[in-house]
Amino acid sequence: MKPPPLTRPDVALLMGALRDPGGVPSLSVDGCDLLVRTARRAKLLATLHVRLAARGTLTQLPEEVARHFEAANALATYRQRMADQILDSFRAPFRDLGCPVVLLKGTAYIAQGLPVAKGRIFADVDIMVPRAHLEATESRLIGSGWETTLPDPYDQHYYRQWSHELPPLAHPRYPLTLDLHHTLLPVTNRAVIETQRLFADAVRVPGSCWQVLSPVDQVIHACVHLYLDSDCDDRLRDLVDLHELIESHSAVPDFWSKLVERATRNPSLGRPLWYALRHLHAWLDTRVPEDVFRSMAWLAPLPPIRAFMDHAVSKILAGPHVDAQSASVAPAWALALKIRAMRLRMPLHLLAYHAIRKTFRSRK
Amino acid sequence: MRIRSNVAALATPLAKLYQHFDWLPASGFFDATVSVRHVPGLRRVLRPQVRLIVDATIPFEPFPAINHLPLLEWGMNFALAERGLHSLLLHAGVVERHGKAVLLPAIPGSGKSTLTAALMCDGYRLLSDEFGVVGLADGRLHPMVRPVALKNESIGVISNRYPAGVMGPTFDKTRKGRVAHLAPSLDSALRKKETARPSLVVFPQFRGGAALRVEPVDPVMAFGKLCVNSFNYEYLGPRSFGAISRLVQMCTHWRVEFGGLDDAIRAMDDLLAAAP
Repeated sequence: MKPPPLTRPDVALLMGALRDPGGVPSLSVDGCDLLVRTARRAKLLATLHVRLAARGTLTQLPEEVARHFEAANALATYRQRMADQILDSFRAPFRDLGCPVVLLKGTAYIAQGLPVAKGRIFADVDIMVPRAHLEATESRLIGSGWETTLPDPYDQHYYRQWSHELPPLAHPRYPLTLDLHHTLLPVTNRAVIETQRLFADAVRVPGSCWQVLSPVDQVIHACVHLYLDSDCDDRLRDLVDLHELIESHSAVPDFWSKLVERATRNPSLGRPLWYALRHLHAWLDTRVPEDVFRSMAWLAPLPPIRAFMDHAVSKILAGPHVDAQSASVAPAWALALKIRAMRLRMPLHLLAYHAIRKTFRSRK
Repeated sequence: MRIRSNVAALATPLAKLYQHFDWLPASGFFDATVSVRHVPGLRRVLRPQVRLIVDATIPFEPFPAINHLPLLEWGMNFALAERGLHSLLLHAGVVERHGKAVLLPAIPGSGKSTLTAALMCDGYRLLSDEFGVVGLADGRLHPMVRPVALKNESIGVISNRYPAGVMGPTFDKTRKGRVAHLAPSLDSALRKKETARPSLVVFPQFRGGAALRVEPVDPVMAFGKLCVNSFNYEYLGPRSFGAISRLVQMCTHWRVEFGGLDDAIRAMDDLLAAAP
């Protein structure tokens, strides 16, 4: 059975525009209004700008509409410039660090010059170092002006004990935050990631001192983020990113066989990958070879679980309708997905302990 | 701009302040759709609040329900500034006469809004009280005509001096003190799409009881002050550098210290007459 189609009119409009930007100029004015608002809310307005500009259709839009796309593009360009400047600023403090520095997510996409980076609105810079070098890296960052955004001792303890990253760092000169990772998943997560292999398989970005994950691990990381994180915002943007990422990396001949091999070796990562490929194929027409689905069929969840996930993800994917009178989307589905993510993230006794600590602290 | 609300008290002052503007059908393409709504639940009866919703996001904390209009006006400013990256945005009042526009960049307490309001009431055309919108392609000043937000003492000063001016209700306890809005003049509203050539940059400085002082400002100094004054200078990179350079070259630059509006208006008239 296929996942339910995305029938909400605003979502269908946005997906249609992303798929076929050539059709945007023939939209009605009301359609244009809804498209621009929905795309901005989904953080996809600049992505749409890139696609319209590539087709040469931007000039066919009325000036009053086109300038909204241009403004979104200016914001995306600015954030990328900031991300570039931040990476540049690391050269001096990271000299002689004595360990590989791996760029993750959007930061890695820009460094590799991948099409997915175009139009992406950066909120943070993500880097990863081996856990043994975490404190040394952190202290060099602090030495160059970065400060933690969560000074509370319990938050610090929580992140350092159980998370896959340190609490976000901020710098007075830059509008982006910095996430310093030592692996890709919380150490308590039910899914396990072989961190040493991530570093072993990482590849150097030509002409730079940075590394990025192997193409397969980049895709796995994006899937893990989409299907194991408790945060329900910007899922559609993440799915569109993942589509673009796969389109780029699948040009490499053995990409699919390596991806299947990875899922087979570690089924706890295979499940999020299975969901991602299923949803991408159904909703974004991502080209996934038939035999990939066949060889991953054993990773499929039981039908009721599959039906729940299809339905829940389709409900929260695009966030609330822009005319909604509150900022929350399908609250029951979002809550259900959050609970699922929390359950996978840590064993129940840890979750309970953490919840109790947080509750009592907020009452102080 | 499309405004939606379930706050009934907002209708009368809104109709008054925007009386010279056209009412558009609710469908169509708008730069922003903002909604001011009562916070539901207990807040309807217990210390009622209103909140601003822009495309299903809530950018500010709610306001007390009596401050509905200030919330709406600030919300519109926020939405326009956030989306205005297709132009260079300066924090400035802009008025125009005889095809020459005056830019009044603000520092808080400088008397920018008071002076902008007075100039409008004296026959200048208002382009904006808040945003100096510099077109990146044409280098001209683009209007963003909205009511002038007057604060504290300047409310009385303007309403006494210009009794014919259309003033909205006074909101006594907002975050910025006492606030009242002055409607744009008919001429300003009718010409709300007409751009203007920048001719004069005046950095106003109100000082109670001071004698009028008009001093030239070095163009390089003016350049620096305008960069700092911009809402989005760093976002646009080299394009904002180019836009401000061009603006500085097209204008003369002055610092005007004034203790009364008579002096200030006379100085502005003279400076504008001599400006290119």
